[in-house]
Amino acid sequence: MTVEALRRRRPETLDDLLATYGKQIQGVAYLILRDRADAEDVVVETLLTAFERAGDLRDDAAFRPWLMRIATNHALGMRRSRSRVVRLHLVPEAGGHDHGAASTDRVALLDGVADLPIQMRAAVVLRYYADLSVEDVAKALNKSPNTIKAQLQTALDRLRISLADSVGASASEANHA
Amino acid sequence: MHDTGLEERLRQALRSEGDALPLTVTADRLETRLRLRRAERANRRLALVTAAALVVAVGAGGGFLLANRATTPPVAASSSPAPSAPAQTPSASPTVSLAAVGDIAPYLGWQMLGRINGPNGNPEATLNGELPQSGGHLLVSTACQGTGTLTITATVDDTWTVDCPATSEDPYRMMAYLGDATTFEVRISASGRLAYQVLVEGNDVPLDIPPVVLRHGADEATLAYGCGGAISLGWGYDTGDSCATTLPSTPLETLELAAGDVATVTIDGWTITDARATCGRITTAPDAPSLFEVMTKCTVTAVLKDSTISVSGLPKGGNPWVVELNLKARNAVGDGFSGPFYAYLFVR
Repeated sequence: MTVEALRRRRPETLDDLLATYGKQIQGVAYLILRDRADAEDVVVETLLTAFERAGDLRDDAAFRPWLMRIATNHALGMRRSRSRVVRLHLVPEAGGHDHGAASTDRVALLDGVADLPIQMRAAVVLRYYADLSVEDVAKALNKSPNTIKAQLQTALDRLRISLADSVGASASEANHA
Repeated sequence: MHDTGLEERLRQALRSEGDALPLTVTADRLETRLRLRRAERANRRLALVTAAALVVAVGAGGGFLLANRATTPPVAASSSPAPSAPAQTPSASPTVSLAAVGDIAPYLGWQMLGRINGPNGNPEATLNGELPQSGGHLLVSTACQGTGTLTITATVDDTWTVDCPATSEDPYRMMAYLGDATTFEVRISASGRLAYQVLVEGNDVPLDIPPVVLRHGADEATLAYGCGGAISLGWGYDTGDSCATTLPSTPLETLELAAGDVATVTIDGWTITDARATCGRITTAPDAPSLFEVMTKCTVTAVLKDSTISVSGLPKGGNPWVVELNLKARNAVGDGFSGPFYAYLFVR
């Protein structure tokens, strides 16, 4: 799919957009909002916004960061308008396949991300899930690159503490067992 | 300093979580939504044209009223234009009256910690104090009138934005989790032409789940809340346990019945909207949580009528059975809870 086709607003470009970027937009929205239904709504609104505003895009190479920026704005706006906090505490499921330290790490990291302030969480998701550069994350969140670097560093520090707490708790449980 | 190991683990964790969801959005849904958006936009344009026509009409009427007010004193000075104001700016009053905001009613079951009315000449305001219990949750409700934005920050550097207006009947609500803090602080920054009220309330848990008691005559057993339940608050918060179905850690209470007896459950102040019962036994294994196991030879019936659950039909004799009662209930403000509750039932 080309940006030019999108600018011409050919109906079939919506299908292409969905097939190419739908899953990643959904992932970004879900990791920010922790709500599956809201994440689906963000996919719909993001693709339609892109479809209608492709003419605003000056640099074709910046299409994916531009799309992620729209998705993030929709997700943050949705979070504000829904006026609610949903905290999912992830635990490894009994009988699941991924027991062990790797699973504990994953759960601790995801819980840690879910506990970050929303803007910091969005920065983490865009940088480490969507693989945007710091500059693109900064544009998406309307902040300076230095602010984003500081936010990411703070987030990593917090996640390191979450991880250490989780390892400590596991070791303590093992000692009691 | 870069920690590439941590960054890589974080990448993998986020990908495993973000990519695990199947994409269920379809091209049809996109096209339907696109048609709706276009229709909404067309309606909005029509509404704007209508509004513009009304402004012209009201502007002409306003000029007449203002001309009359030049000879009679204004009734409500804070919300009325000055008698000498030009007729074409009837909405340019410098402040929005706080009376227009109204009082936000306290939320059922929460303890009020303070109210802030603003802006009182200062766009910044802070409310702080002690929490009634160690830690817990802070519920911040905001109502505002006029146009502008309130930026609100709660103790745990959780910041959100409220775009005005928001009515006191349906205020904008946010909840912050305070961990084990003993004090709280809420900061408000106002911009625009607005008046607001912020109500701050605290509770150790988002929802106090009431005791669920199984009764027969004067005998009763309080059912213990198991794992796997969910709660929702009327203003839009909901959450649930993601654990496996395990029994409560507290010992289960026992209710003794005669054959043919019917035990009942009602919850004061709550409407029960759904009830299902199963019965069985507890299974235990070393180093594993106790589990409830349904037994086919044990039958039990739960009938819900007028918010009362009637439990009957258990087999007679033998050992007490564990009864799992899955119910849903809702209160007057729309809060709800659901989940499994457990007790022993023995039919003599």
